[in-house]
Amino acid sequence: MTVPLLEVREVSKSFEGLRALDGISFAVEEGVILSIIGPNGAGKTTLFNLVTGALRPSSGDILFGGRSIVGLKPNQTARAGIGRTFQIVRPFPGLTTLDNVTLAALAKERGRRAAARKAERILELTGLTPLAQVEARNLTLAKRKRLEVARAVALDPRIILLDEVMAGLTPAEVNETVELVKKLRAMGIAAVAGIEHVMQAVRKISDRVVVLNFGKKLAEGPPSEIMRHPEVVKAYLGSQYAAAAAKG
Amino acid sequence: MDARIFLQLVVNGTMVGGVYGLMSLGINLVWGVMGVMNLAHGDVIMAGGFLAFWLFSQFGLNPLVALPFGIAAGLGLGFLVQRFLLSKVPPDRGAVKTSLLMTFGVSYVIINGVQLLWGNEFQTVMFLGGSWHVFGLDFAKARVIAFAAAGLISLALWAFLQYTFTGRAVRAVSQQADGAQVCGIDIPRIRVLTFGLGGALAAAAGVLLVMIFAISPAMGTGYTVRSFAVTVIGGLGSFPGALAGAVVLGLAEVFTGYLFSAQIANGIAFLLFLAVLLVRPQGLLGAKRL
Amino acid sequence: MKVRIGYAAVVAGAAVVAVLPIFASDYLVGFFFTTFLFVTMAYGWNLISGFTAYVSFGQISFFGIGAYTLAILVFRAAWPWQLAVLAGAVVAAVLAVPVGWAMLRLRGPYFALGMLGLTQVLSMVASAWIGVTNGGEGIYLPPEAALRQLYYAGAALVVVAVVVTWAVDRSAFGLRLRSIGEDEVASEAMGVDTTLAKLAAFVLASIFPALAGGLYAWRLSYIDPASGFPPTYEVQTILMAIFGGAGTVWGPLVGGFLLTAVGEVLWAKFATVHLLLFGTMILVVLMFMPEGLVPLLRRRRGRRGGAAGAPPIRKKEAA
Repeated sequence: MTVPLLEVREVSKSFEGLRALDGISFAVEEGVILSIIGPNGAGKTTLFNLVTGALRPSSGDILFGGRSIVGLKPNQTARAGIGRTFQIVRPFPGLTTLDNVTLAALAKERGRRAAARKAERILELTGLTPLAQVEARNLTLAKRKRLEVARAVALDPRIILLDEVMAGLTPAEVNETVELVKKLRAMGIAAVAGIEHVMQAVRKISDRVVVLNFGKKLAEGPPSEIMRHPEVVKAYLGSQYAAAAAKG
Repeated sequence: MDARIFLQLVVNGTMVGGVYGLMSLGINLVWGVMGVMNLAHGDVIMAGGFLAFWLFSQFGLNPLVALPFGIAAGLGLGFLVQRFLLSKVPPDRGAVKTSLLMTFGVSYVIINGVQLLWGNEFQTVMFLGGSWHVFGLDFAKARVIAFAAAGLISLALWAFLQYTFTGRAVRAVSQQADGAQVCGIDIPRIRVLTFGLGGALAAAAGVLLVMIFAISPAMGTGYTVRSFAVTVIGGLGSFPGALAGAVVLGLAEVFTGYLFSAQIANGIAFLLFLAVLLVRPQGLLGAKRL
Repeated sequence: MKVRIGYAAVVAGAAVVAVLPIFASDYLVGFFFTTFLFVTMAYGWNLISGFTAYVSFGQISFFGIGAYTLAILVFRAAWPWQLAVLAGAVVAAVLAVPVGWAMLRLRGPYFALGMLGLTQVLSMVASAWIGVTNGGEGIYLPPEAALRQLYYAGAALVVVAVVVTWAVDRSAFGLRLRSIGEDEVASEAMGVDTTLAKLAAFVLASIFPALAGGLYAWRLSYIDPASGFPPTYEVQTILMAIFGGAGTVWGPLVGGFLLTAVGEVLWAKFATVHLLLFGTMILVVLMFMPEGLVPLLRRRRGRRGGAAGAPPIRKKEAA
């Protein structure tokens, strides 16, 4: 049995008495897309912060490629192969789209020219080439989210943590993002997508779904199963989905 | 050193600490409520001192009577700066840098203004000489009065923030500006008021300070550093912390002045500032984390 | 087309600068020398505060270090002034490492305040360390400074400053610094070693005021705490950099020259209010042209030339 790419083992995190995460465990293998769903406040962003090293778990372990990464700082986990987008998109506003991605590429390339060339390739991949010289602050939300993904890809990640990458997008934009994530999977990049409520996306991209609620793991399984899981439906998806689930 | 000298130094340091506490309250308020670091703060203190000197030397007004004038002037200055300068800064990522540069510019305007109005020399107000002798220790009258006045003003400020609607509005804005706005609080007006208050407190501190020390226009920067040092030592966002930090600084200055030299005492504020930020950024009693 | 006009102006300017001492009066040569020093200091400030967002109000600390190093080496060890100036840069760079490390750990505004306080403290050290610095009396140097030599040394400094800034601007290092200036937390998340980058910029930035300080001390043939750490130089340097355009390659040059000329006039006519005017100018720049002159002009040119298909503005000069 191969070692999973990313493994979260019994991870808990408390903030001065508030238990944000309680005994969370799951694993992501190479080339798998895992979606973590749960209402806002369930702990998805905290979980991502723990994996990248922005926060330290109160207990439990996090393994990447079989080795514990607890204690590493964000720039170290970034270099190790864990990419990340932020829920509130934070591209560098005064830098151009190209410069934004070039900077990310500098983590792996030597010299600005090599990094810029790689950045250009990635812009091509993510469909951002026409916007290369536009300052990031002038991009629309959808394009900014795409830029976030482009930056994460520039770090040659083996896995990307996508925090709410679909939120606020039109259905057409959601579809584009789904295609992009699938393209990345085809390139061998695994993904953990933290998603609040864009359910159509969850169904389309996830190999597996983990459900979080109030910091605890409610359920795990393929999307179709999760959508019908009574606990999940009760806690979170709401009556209209419950009705649909009852219909099977 | 013998006990008497030690105690005397403690007395002196604590007295001075009272005024330093007042100096830093303005910083705490402005920094806490608005997130603005006012680099001109020390210069307002200095200007307040010069105003008191002028009122004393021209009209024979003693500094305690000059206090309301100083407070009014500080209030007006703070109001003007916030209303016409700082509030115009767009609240983006460059805002911190811009407001720092702005207050830096204002600082020079104030320094030069003071020089034009009242000259470039060291001045002090010898209004209350001599000391009271209690338990064999000297309590310099000027220091005691300054300490008492500083204490009263601090108390008044505290009461204002605790018990008046406006004061509570100020606290609300410092804790959660968006929430405060939803409650109908006019944020821009509160900011103008807060900055004005900061200026008023600074000017008041200056009026009291000139009774104890001699000041010159160039000393403004030193007061800025001291005010921030006190805030940092005590911990941002904490009023008792500010007072504690003030006493710590006062004692440190007095002791190093006695043990080493006046120049080193002058520099101790900066060293403490640096040391606290590096070792224990939240200060002694700090509420907010950096 | 527009870019070539700009370069032509630079070449012409350089030619003027090169031959000026032959024809001009001592006063004019001296004026240019002072301008070179200010421009150099503005470039120094620009490297740390223009690129990253760490606004330093204490670059004069290094000016003083350079000035005093020169004075001490020449006075006590009879070093030739050229070597003493360079030694000042080395001392500044070496000291900038621990100072920068300590200061840069303080985020944003605390860094600004820290640097402000540092100058005060160094000035006090200069006063107090009488054995080495002669305290308040100051150090008198042999008045052998040749004005025209200093002029060319100053001009060389400016050239170095511009070249270094240009190289940084287009390098990976420069991009990393800009990202720190834009959003330090995000920059770290992108794998940038922000501590190292900031420190490198800080050390690099310290060299320029130090060199300027050394030349200044030599020209003055004297140094004391007041002249070594002149507080008004800080405000002037910063004003020049932000007026010309912080974070740009040419901004400090343009700002430095324009404002030194203005300063000369003001000093002659309004000596008593020149601090007030500088302070006010900072406010005016911040309110009405926060990006600075060079980006403003670039934008105007871009708009006029854009319709005809001129190349889009490639560099983003972030304030």
